[in-house]
Amino acid sequence: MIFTENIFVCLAAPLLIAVFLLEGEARRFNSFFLLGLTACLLAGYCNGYFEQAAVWSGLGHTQFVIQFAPVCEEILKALPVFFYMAVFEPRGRGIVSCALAVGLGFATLENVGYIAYYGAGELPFALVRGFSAGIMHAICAAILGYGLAFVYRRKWLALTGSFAVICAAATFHATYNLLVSAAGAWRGLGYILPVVAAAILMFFIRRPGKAISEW
Amino acid sequence: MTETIHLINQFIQIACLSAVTLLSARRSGWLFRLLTGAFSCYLLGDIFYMLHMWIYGQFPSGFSVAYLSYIGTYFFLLTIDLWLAGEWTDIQKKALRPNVRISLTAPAAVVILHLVYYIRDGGFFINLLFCVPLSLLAYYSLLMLLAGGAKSGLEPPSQRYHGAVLLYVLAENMMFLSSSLGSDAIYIAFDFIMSATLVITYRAAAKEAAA
Repeated sequence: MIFTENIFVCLAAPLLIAVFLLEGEARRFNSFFLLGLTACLLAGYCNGYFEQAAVWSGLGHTQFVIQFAPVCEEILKALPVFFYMAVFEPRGRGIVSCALAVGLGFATLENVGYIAYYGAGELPFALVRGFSAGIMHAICAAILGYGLAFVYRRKWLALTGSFAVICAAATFHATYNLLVSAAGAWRGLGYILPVVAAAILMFFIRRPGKAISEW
Repeated sequence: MTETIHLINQFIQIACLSAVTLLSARRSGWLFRLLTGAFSCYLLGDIFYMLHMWIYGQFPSGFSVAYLSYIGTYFFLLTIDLWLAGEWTDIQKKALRPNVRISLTAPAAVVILHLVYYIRDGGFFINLLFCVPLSLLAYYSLLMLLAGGAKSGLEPPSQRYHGAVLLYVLAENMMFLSSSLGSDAIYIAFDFIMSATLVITYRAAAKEAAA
């Protein structure tokens, strides 16, 4: 048994102090990284409750992990970004960096939790966690961030666009979970998927000489 | 046999959608970025559906996250509609008023079709999830289609594109309805037609962008 709350406190304490010491972009990134850790902790609680409900309704643990956990996690990851957009009305890069910070914070606590549970003795396991699940959360956050930065122009556009972007991120996350929950070659494909997706995303997003604010 | 046809159908859909997504992504401009989002969403749903079939030997039963990606497609298309509509002035709103009444027939038709589907097959929550965005998409597409001809001063009219989206909504609803009729052949036929309407939507968007 691991105590995720204890790990969370251990990771969050220095970051919380840093919030008061840093300024500007660094403070914002740090704050959203912290919110990402919090979102992961909350996702752990929510998934626990929903998993019980899923098992009682006859859905089963695996189907819950594949079908419902990604939706819950992506919504929780999006909430801090929505709050930031509603209160501070940022544009372009501000939204992207916040979404990425939340995603990275989420991936950090999740990976530390897994390492604490399964042990840190196996380097391949750590590599797989880092390069598959870690990158997968970053990809989902990038989908959310770039999508929201693009549609956040008018109230109704932001509303419909946000929902669309969350749906896309949740399905990508679910596809990853589906592959890694299977055995053999499918699992291997699941581990490679985030890296391939990251390459594709970077190919389409990185346009020389064009900032996100100019979209 | 039915499963094999389903798989072949999914393969063809994924191939078509991959091509359309790639074509959209290669073009620049906000319309194609959002279309890429819409097609990617649909593609992800199809991929999830097929992978589930391959790995677990059956399509997902009950609610599936693939449905969420299909709903994401409707929301991407709705975002395009809202973007094209722009901000309306009071004069434009007044000019559009008769069209609003006519346009309400589209969501009414969608609701009726979903009601029939619900009565035959059940699944209140899933029906509601699909019905709301499809109704909104049908409403805005018809409104914008009519607005182009109403000389309301809306820029740009983009009638080809809205007509194509309306066709897509119709095909999607017919596919739902055919799935409750119990005939796999009709369902698969409408599934193919629905994929074709997405290709038509891309072609219409490309023509609008060129114009």
